[in-house]
Amino acid sequence: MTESRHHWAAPLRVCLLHNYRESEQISMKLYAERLGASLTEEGLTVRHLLPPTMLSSQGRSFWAGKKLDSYAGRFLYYPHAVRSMPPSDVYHIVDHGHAHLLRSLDPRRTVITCHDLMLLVLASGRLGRRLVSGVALEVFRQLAGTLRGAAAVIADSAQTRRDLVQFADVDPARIEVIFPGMNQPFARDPAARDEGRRRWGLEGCRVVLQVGNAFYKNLEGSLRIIARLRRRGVDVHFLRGGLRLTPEQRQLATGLGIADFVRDLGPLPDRELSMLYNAADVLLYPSLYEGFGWPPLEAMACGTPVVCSRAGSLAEVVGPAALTADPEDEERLADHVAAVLSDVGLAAGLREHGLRHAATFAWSRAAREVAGLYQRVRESA
Amino acid sequence: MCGIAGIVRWRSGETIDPATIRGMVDSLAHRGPDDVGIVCEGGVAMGMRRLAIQDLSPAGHQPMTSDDGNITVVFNGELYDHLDLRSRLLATGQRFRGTSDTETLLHGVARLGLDALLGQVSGMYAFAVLDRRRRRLSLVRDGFGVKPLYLRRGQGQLAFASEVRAFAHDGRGKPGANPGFVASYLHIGWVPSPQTAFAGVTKLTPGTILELDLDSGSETTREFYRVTPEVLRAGLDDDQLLELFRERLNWVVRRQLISDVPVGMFLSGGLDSSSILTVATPHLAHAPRSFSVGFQAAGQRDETEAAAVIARSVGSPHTILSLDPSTLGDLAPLQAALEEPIADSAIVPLWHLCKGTAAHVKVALSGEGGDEALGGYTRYFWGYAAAALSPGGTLAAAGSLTRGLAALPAFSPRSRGVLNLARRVGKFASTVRLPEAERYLSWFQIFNRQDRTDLLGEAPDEVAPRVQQIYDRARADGLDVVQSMQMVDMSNMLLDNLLVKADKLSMAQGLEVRVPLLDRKFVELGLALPIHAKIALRGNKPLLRRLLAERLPRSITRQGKRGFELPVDRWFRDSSTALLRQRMSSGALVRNLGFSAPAVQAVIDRHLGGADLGRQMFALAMLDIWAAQNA
Repeated sequence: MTESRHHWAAPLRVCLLHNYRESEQISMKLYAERLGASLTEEGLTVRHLLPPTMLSSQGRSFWAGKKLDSYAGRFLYYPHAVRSMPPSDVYHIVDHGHAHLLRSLDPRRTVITCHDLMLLVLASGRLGRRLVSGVALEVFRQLAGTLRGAAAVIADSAQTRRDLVQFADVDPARIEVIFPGMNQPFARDPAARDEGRRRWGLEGCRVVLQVGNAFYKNLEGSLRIIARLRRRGVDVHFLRGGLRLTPEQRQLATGLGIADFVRDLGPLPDRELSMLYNAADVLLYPSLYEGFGWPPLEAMACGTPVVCSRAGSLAEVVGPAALTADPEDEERLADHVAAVLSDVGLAAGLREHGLRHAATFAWSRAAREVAGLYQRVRESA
Repeated sequence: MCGIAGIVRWRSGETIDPATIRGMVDSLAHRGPDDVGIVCEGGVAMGMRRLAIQDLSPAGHQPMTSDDGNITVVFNGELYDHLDLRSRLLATGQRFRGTSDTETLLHGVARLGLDALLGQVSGMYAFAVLDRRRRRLSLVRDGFGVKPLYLRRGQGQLAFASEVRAFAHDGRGKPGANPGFVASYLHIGWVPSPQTAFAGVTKLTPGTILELDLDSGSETTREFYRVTPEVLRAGLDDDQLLELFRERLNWVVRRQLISDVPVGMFLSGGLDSSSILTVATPHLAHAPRSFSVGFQAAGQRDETEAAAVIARSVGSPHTILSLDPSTLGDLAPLQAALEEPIADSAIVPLWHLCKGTAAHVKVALSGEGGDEALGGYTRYFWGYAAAALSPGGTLAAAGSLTRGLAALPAFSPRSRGVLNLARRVGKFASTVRLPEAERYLSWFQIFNRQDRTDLLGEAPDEVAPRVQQIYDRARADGLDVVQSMQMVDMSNMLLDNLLVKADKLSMAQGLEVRVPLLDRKFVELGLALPIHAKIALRGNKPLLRRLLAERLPRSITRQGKRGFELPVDRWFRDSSTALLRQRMSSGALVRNLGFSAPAVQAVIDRHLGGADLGRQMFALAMLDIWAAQNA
């Protein structure tokens, strides 16, 4: 690690601007914390700006108070806090949802990370006909437009970079694709596999896992694929981690005749997520879109073969370490799952590629690339 | 997308001079201006001209050979989902030099075998696989015949090529004319597969593999794909059907956008091309360029106005290519590009559309195939009604009424309003009692039996038995009236007219035309849709209309089906075509094909006398030019 450190002419001071009420967005909190820690190891001076909430937890316990805190705190109170902080060489807004802070900063020294432009993707019709709230869309459009003024934008993936150009008209020369590092320590753990299978009553079963909550994770597609596999005579169980199935999804499972083979675990704490990945034989991830897509990498880090769609960023993120297909091609995805379950050599190959691939998503690597970008921003400011 | 060619000679000691395969390949230079490659060893030679679309690097060079030197392929076309297969190959340790679909195909064949591979890829293609260990050459053509593959057998040799012109260089002399096709051509206006207009030259049947023993020349042919309707979940209501349809359209269009060069769109203003443009646009970094073709003259009925509205609605930079309606222009270059005659005046605008599009992009998506896949032709409506009214049909009792209606006078195809309705009803009524194959052919008929005999004498016409055969097979597969007609269309007009002209006229300009609505997943769904989702009184393809109504103005989604109406009847009365008319009655038709000069002159005279014989005149003109060039 020490060998790869940058040796700056003058120590570079960076301020990481966390999300408002970040405890409600754990992934963004972890992004800022992990990046900050790795940047420090790279020899940078890192300051974190974590704004206190405008209202106390008591004030936010009412609906109106929560809304007030959400909008006024984020769009008025937080910018005020930004204006009063001491100067840095570079400012980094870690989530494009807070791009409005750019107006309170020196834009020539400000970097913003964009994780995805989901609302604009939805509004474009790329995912078919989806209803999007007009207010939310307008707010998001304004934020996305603000990105154009930043010195640089970090895109989590080449897909997000393309979306930034297409939907937010950001100059491609100002966008740098930097894959983030993995936030949680996932690892292959045979003991966890056994424990998980025992706990969830899956001993001796062939288990296909899906995690994630948003509609674009395509849980319905997964259910249909499981049904397709069972119709072919593949004795497979579906393990589901995340929000509970909706009544419609349960009805779909029943209609497909697979309700008895679905284990709906609901939300799990992080420490059990690793057990979940280890317990599965395959992660099935047929997303309709992703701006990045963590679960396939997390599964790979646990040595679990991955079958996923190629939608959005997934193809670039999983690289050559997963079996991929179009999310609409449920037949092909089912073929892939069946092949992994029946072909020991194929599963072993995927496991080996996956472990190697997941290891490349380290924060040390991401921090080196981010630090290089900061340096270029400082030089041209 | 490329041009491919090859030769196998199995007579002892007979080898192939590299200059021979080079000559074949060079004759296809227009199909692939970006690269050329040949392999020539003993009695086997293959080569290709490349139009680089996927993987522009030298890693996409063909012929491409496997790491162990056993398998070599030459490939023309696109595999849209090859990355699915590639992910599987990568997981088993296969390494790739580049990103082309050809390389995926090569390693897929080497690892899985040809038949297994073909079950795992979708696309438009024609390719050859040389397996040195097994001493076999396999030739393959996609399931709908989007890409051509011609064969020439004889004198201890089999040659193959993307175009017939390559055979002039295969060492066996230029293929002569095959007079056997003329009767069929006069009947329907194209050359029905598997025969061609050239002696000794045939087309490989779509969806088949021809396997040739390199040592003995013995052949086997097997089918690897035949389109069948998808099995839909029971009880889907119209809204669920719409969602299924939306997802499928989105899928097939999206996967056909795979390209390392910008993709453009043909935009006619009709439903099919409009749907492709609207679905494709959100998936591309910039709205794709779109191209339409119309007439310069004000007041002429064309679809460029509608096309411009659609292009504006998605922000597509739109180019309208204008034709001069005052003159037919020189048909000789078009016929030379087509190689075989096609009596369809739509070749004229298509030629100009391809030319204009090729000036800006190397790839264009076209709505071709949408009518066959979704039951878009009005003949499906009429065919369904005729089946109901015919003896044994659900409305057979009312069938006798059609006898009276059949007596309505035959108004001009250019009639409007009530006269046009009367023309259609009369034409429909006259076909109700015909056998279904004859009824089908009556919709295309150019010259009736008497005219054909007058022009050519008695000649065998193999079209009707062939069509009946497809009907019989469809019925044996349990398909309904509309599905049967879709199958017949796909094996006839689509295969031998629409796809031939789309391939030849575009490739003559170095342009790749993709046909997402002929993606097998889309056609299989289209076939499976219930009849009410295909034909409707307010316009066929109701699902597509509903889908587009979410994005486009009603004026677009409610319009009736329009063809590209060229004033061919007027052109053939015009003084500018006087020389052409003169040539028709005394030129190659008569000299080379044995047509009766008085009968040809009689057709011309009837047309000049006011009968609307524009289609017939165009058919004779194209055949005359073909005969002058080839016979």
